[in-house]
Amino acid sequence: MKKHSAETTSETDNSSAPTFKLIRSTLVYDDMHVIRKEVSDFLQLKHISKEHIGNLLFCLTEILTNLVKHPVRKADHIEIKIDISKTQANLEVLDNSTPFANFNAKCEIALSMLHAAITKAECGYGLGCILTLCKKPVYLPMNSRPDSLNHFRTFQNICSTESTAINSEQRKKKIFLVDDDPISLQIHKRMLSDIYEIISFENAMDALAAFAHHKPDLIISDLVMPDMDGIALRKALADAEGGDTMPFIFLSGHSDHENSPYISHLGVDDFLCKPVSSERLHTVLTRLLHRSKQVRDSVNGQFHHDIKELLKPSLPENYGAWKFITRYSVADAGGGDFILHQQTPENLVVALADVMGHGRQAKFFSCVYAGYLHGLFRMHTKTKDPCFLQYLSRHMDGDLLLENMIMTCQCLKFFPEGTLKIASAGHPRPIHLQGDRAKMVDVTGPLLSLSEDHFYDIKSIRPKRGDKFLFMTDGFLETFDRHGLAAQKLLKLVQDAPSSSAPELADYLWQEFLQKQKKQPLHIDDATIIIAEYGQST
Amino acid sequence: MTNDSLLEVQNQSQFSIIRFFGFVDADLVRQAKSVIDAKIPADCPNIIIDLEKVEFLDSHGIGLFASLLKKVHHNNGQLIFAGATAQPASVLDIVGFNGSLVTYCEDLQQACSLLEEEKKDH
Repeated sequence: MKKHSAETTSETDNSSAPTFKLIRSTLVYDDMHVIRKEVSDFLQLKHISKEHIGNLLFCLTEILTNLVKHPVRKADHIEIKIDISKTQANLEVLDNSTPFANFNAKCEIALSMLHAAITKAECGYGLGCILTLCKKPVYLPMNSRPDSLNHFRTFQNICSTESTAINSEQRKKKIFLVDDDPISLQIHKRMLSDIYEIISFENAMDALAAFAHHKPDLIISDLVMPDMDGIALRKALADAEGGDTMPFIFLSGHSDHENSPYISHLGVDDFLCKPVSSERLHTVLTRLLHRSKQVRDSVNGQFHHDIKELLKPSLPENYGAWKFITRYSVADAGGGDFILHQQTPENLVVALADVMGHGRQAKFFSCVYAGYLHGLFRMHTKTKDPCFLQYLSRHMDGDLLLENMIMTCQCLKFFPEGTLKIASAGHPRPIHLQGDRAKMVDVTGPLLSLSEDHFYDIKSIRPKRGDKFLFMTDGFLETFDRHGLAAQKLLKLVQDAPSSSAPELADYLWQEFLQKQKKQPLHIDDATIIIAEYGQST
Repeated sequence: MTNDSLLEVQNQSQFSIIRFFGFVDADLVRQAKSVIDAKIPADCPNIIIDLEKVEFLDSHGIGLFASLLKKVHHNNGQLIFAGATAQPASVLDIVGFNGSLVTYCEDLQQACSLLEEEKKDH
């Protein structure tokens, strides 16, 4: 191990807020192992769970690697701080290297492209993982900090599952109180702290810096303050994620500003004049918080409803001797499943697709992709191309939407006399149920964007009457096991299903799925199944 | 078998095994790339990545696995992760290395058996 001129201090104690601090003047790859070990040892001593330690070490490693690998100007001051409160393990990294540019914008891209990155590059996963593994990471470049150091911080909730499961309705609403007058701050804090969780700040800069970390439910700010006044705070919040719609109240002794047209256009919910009574303050807060919840629920509910309607699978109940049953559930966030179909007298072509993605934005993009694919699907059915996947793969080059779409897809062609043809691009294998014997259908192929102009194998099956096929998306399959054994478990479940009728089989599998899904609230994804039964002609 | 202390590479007729140890991070990846490129045949259809002895995986490790995934898919094969648990398993899940893209096995033995069985089927 190389030796460096480094000042390293490590402080731990048994107080309620134990801290770890490490300062270095240089940093190279070899140092990572030592730093990780020191941090890990400290966190283990504080009885932090392995999962939380792993997550914090991941963030720390990514930030430190960035400092070693990328900056134009290397840091000669690197400071790592960890403090443990009753509910949180907080990690901070301070440095004086070239600042990381446009952190917030990069966060949005990183999260929405987290899955997409798999097919595109050998790098670009770090920030997306940090955003997923750790809570509310904040990065403040040195030019916005009084100490002229870049400042990264994040945390892990370390309280028990039971306490973290308290929903937003039950927990105390979090209020930021901002006032440069400490006496005024104390008075208002005392008025509200029985009902609300109050976090107070004597200057607006600190409130702004803490905003992303704490995400309050409402902000009460004084108007006239040194350095940054209430107006500047309101304006700055408008640029922060979630800040523009945050309920905001001015509480000021300058009542002459109350009717200022300038303030009216800032996006302020109320203007209260000091001195304010406890009763008046409580009334205003109750009204604003209630209204804020109403608006939020309405927007989210409408969005979810619209998306659900758009992604609703549509498939005929019968085609020739084939009968179809579908079940689906649409998650609030993440990628999306959809089914496209085109029916002619010769055959019924079905595409079952699962667009990967992360966050609410991905749900929106799934709808965009579904619409785009629907157009291509219609065009394809007019060509003599035997396979939709082949068609997409051939037209991939230069098509930006297709190139960036990370999607698994299974194309099914049902013929009225019974033949079934299947091609697959990274999609879970279907299950073929013949009597009481179930087996996986051996049909595979790479994801579309992994390989341009790929030749997809088409599996042709002649089923017997009464045969059933289960087609599914990943969100359904993986709910049965997240460690690679889902296919085996599902196969056994299908084989052991109490009834062989297609509707009863669908109900049975869907109930099993819903029960398992309930136990995995952090992994909810869109899920779709199609059960196709070959039987009597209608 | 090749053992370059960072990792072990073992080539079989239809697949290659890469066994990692300890920390799969930027430091290891920058050294491991050339070893893997030299030892794994370009037309190798299946690769097993043994993570049983891996304690920590960062985004650079994910980048390396993504390049191996591209390689096997190009050769119409599959990428199998064996023995991934704890932090490495969690990171693999986050970046979308799911059952549609790769295969997970509990250990190296199960992964080898899976490929042997598939070989027989064909």
